[in-house]
This record gives sequence, C-alpha cells and structure tokens, in this order.
Amino acid sequence: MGFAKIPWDPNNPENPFACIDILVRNSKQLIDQPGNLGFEFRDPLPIRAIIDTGAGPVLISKAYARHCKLFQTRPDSDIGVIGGSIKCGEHAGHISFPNTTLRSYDPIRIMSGDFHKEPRFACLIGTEILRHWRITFDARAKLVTIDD
Amino acid sequence: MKCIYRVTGVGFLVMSDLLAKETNVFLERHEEWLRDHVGKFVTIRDEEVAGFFDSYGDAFTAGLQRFGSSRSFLIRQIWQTEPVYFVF
Repeated sequence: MGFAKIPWDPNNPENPFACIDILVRNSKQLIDQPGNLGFEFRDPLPIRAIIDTGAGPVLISKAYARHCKLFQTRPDSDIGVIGGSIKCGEHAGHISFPNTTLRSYDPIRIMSGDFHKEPRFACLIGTEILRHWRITFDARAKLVTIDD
Repeated sequence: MKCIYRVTGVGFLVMSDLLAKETNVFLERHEEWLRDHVGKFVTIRDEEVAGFFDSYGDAFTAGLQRFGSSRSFLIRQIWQTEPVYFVF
C-alpha cells in the first residue's frame, strides 16, 4: 500500500487547489518495443497536478505532451465539458508520483489540452486515478493524506 | 484535418493526417459497433481493427502487439454519447 502526505492550506490564494507532484512519460511497453533505441524518449520533468474530483481522465497541457513526445491514440478533437467544449488529444503514457510510495499507472489514458488563461497550471488528475485512492483532508493540520 | 510531421524511431520524417483514416473507420462503423460493444475500447490502424477491449490499457497493449510503435494507432471508447470528462 502506498502513501503520500501533502501540505495544503485552501485559504492561501497562492495555493487554491490540493496538488501532487507527478512524472509523465511514455509507457514502458512503448519504450521497450523492438526498434526503439531509447534516446528518442525524453526524461520526464516533474509537474504539479491538481487533484480534481470533477475530472475523469488525466489532463495535461499540449506543450507538456509535446515535450514528453507522448504516443497519441486519438487526434485533437472537440470533447464536451461542463461549460462548453475543449480541443483535446489522447495519449497513452505512464504516470508516477515522485517522493511518495503511491503506485504508478502504466499504461494509462492521458488527454492533452490547452489551459486557457491559467498558465500556472498544466495538469490535473481525475477519477481514473483518484478512484484507486483514499484521500483525507485535515483542515486543522492543513494536510492532505492519500493511500492506495 | 491538421497535417503533422512525426519523426519515427529510426529518424525518418513522415507527413500524415494524424489518425484521419482510422477516425473515418470508427465513424463509419460506430452504429454497427454500438449494438454489441458499448463501453468497450476499440483499437484501429489504417482499416485494420485489432479488437475490442475492456480497458484503455488492454487496448493499448493489443495495439502495440499487433501494429508496433512505428506510428500511432487509434483507440476509441464506443459510446452512444461521449461522456463529459471535465468541469471547466
């Protein structure tokens, strides 16, 4: 069973969402395919992901998806969201949580879209991952704990 | 449809309409697949269908085994109406 502790003060306007550090890269199955030499896949950069119970799949910015050269499994197309629609692509990837003991997910569906007017955020994780977790928030201690 | 360049594993530069042909196959056969495969994930490259799977991960694994990774293949979940994924 994995575990993570995340400090979070929802009263801090600089930190309005509970976030967790993640690493996104191509699926190990893809990297290990015959003919792939390895150097064509970049090392992942850590990214702060919003823990979003209102989302389904993982969503990352298109810039980040391009950086990771994620293997695309659906072309960019309009998908419905509450409040309109956004243009998203779909990719297969690997997600892990550095500095925690939470399990990683590979392969997992990752959608890419633009975070309009919100340059500070580039990733959110939804119920496709959260459904595997038990999340508690201690408001007095300003602490989110996750176990899986 | 957007035209893109993709560098393959061995360094060739290929120009393609990313997954346009596969998307057309999906749209053409969508009504037929709704009868027997609702909620399943289908994997397609060119006009070849690798099968129907219970999860995205299974569909991806099957796609790699069948088609390799030299270029993208399409994975779509079969729904009458696509779910709303996000709140914006």
